[in-house]
Amino acid sequence: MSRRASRGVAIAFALAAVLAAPLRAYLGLGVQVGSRVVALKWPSMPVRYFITNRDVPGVTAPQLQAAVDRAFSTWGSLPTAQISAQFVGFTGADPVNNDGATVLGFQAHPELDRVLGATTHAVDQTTGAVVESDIFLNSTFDWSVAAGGEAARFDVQSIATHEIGHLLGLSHSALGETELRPSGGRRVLGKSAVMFPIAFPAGNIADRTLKPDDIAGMSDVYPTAAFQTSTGSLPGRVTLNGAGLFGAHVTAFNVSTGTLVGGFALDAQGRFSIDGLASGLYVVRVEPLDDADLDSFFAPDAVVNIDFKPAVYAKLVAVPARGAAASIEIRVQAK
Amino acid sequence: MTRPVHWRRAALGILLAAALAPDARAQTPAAAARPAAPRADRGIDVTVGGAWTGGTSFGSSNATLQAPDGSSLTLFTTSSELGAGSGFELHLGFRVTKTLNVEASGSWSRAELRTAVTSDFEDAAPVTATNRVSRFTLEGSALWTVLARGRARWFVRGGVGWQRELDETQVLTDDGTIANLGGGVKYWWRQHGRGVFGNLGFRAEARAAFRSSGLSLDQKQTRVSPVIAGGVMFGF
Repeated sequence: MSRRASRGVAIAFALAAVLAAPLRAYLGLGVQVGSRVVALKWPSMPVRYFITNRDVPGVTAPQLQAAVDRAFSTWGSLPTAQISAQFVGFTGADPVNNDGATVLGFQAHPELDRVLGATTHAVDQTTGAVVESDIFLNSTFDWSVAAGGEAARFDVQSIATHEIGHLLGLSHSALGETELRPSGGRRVLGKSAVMFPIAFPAGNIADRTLKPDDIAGMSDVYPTAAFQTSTGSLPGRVTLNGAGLFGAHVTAFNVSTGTLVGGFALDAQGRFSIDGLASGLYVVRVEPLDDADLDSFFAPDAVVNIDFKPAVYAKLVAVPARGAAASIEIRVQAK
Repeated sequence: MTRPVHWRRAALGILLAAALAPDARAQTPAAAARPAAPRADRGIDVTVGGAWTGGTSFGSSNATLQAPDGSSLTLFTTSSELGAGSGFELHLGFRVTKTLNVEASGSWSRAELRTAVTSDFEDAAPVTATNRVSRFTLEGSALWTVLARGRARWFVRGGVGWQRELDETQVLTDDGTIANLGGGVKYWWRQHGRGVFGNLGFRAEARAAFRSSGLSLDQKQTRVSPVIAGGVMFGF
């Protein structure tokens, strides 16, 4: 999965053959195993990784390693997920190289002039287990590891946190709003997930910090026992004129805590399930994806319906501390 | 000083009851404190009735995104409240002394949680999302008669108990504690008769209910609601 610069426009996103895992909270990565789509995840921890021994202007290899370590630690410190990583050493290998080793590092991709970084996976096609994952940060851009960020330079730790989210099995979140730039590309107006596909502008370090949507998604992939017994699901369908609506973006807003967690309708019946929710009462809202973002979420051949009006479900949905809320049907209207 | 000892203990209660018993303020302290011989009061009384509970606002809360400059971009705005509710109550009272009763009470009521969702960033139509909440309580309390005049018994009551709130789909429950403090009047229409209706009266009460926990739409742990209750009373 690639991360676009804020000035970027859509590009073909998939460097690995990944699919949206069906009916997951959030949007997990999945892999086709026979007739099933299996969630893509590491079979064991820690994730052992190498760092390229290349310096780029403003960032030495040890500085890159330290920033990547902090990014891994951000995910690893989640009390609701079982994640750990181990730095093995520096390597001269390219970060995107099917060599059995997980490598993170800078690599020049001038042809990807709107891609800050990308993640690839090598997957066991019989189990869906990740056997290798590589991340490159595009050294065509200017980078920084300054503690407070640096103007006109992208923050290594922020972008690494996003890419490591992919490395661990998460796809993109749609919890964000963008606008088209006159010069092309999209600009982030606001977002509430590190895993939103478009980065904040250079100099911004906000994506070093995970949001509730990120936490719910990752905890759903690598749950602790406590997470499984203390969170609930919000299942339902999105329909348009009685038919299921694939690709609708559904968000659950906890009125008490103010947290937002998103999910997608992921089959022809328009079914969704937002998992990992704290028990409470939720406002549920559904919206179409931005047409310019579709390739950030679904395979190019997916037929995603975006021709409907955003809507809010007319009931406050009660999510229990364990188990699932009563399934709901959100009926939307065509634009 | 001839004021009975129990008058001092009753002082707070009388103040609370005063709003409900305007004529009581005309009583001398000694007279007010002197419960009439409760010839009509039975050892056990049962009250069956209804109650109205006032609504509570939970304020507003916005669904926000983080803008690049660190400010908030509002996705939509919510404003929430628990509407006024109504339900049934049952009180079972036992006379301990001439002025003191203990009561066991239970209640069931329903109210609607409402969240108005407005100002959607992408112009979704405004919606008020709702969930009808059921509340069950079990409570023990002490009821103190502070003024007995004719067939009326003015009282103050305080108690604590357990409450459970259930959402309308019954998947979300929240248990907590409830405390009540208030006052009212028992009025006996019929006295010394035979059968179930031989001792018949009504009871009216106003109180403040203090609830901890509950299905709320904000982070407050304790909230106070006014309650007005009334019912038919049987003496045995």
